[in-house]
Amino acid sequence: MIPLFAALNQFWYALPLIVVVSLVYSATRHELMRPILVHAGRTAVWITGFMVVVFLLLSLMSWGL
Amino acid sequence: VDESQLPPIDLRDRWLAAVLAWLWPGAGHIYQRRFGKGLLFMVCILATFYYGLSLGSSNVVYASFRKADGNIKQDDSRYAYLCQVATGLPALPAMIQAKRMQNPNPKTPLWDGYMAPPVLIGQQVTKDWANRLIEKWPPRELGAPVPFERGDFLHMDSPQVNFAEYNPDRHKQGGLDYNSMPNELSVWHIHHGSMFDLGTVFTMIAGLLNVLVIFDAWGGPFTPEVKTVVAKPN
Repeated sequence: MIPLFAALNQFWYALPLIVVVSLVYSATRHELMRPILVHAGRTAVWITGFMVVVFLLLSLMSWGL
Repeated sequence: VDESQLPPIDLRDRWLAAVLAWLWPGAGHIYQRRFGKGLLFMVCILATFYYGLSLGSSNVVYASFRKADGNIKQDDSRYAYLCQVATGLPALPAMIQAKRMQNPNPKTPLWDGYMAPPVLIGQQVTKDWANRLIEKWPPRELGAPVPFERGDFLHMDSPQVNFAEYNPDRHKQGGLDYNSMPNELSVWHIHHGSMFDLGTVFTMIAGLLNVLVIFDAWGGPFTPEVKTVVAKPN
């Protein structure tokens, strides 16, 4: 089993992906830079929240394994 | 800023823009003079693709859809490439390498194997490539039992050598079938560890994002507020 800190270090790889996915997704829904950035911020928060919920669920399910 | 007040976006020749967007992320938008978005797509997608590629030392992008036949003894289907190829030109060297290494009469892959498919059991490769693999992946550094040792290749004195039925004492223990035997793909997994999977994910996401970009170049943003016009056919 991977120690928790080692596993958490790998979460840093999610950061550039969240930024890129939010920016590109938002840019396909707007034409001007300002609405793109505002939408990208909201999308990034949404993705992060979703990942945190999934992480907590999986952690609870694997508790004691 | 109210985007509904914007003048309609001129998509010019939307099909040409879509092809350009596929070939080089962002190029379709630059052709349409949508420079800001073009630059944003180019930076985001190419950075993601090449960062992923660097995590797995170019091994994570390869084109291989092979079934075991009389010669090759293993199956290998790289479905991830179906996503990666949407990045366009940056992923196309994989097709050149796959074509070069195809049996019969394979050629040595170019660029020291950049995006070349892994060598499977039974696959013929050139003698140059066999020697390079032995030099590149010394077994002692990876731990046994893995390829490649000189004995793994048959007919080392001929121009085409065969990565077949190598060292059966090492690999046929326990009645393993051919698909369970280690090949070059196993070496990559051992060498890169979890970076192989992360690199695969990054390059796949880059390709999938470019699908959105291609659609944006073809049809404009996914919003009814922004109006578009296209070039009239001559």
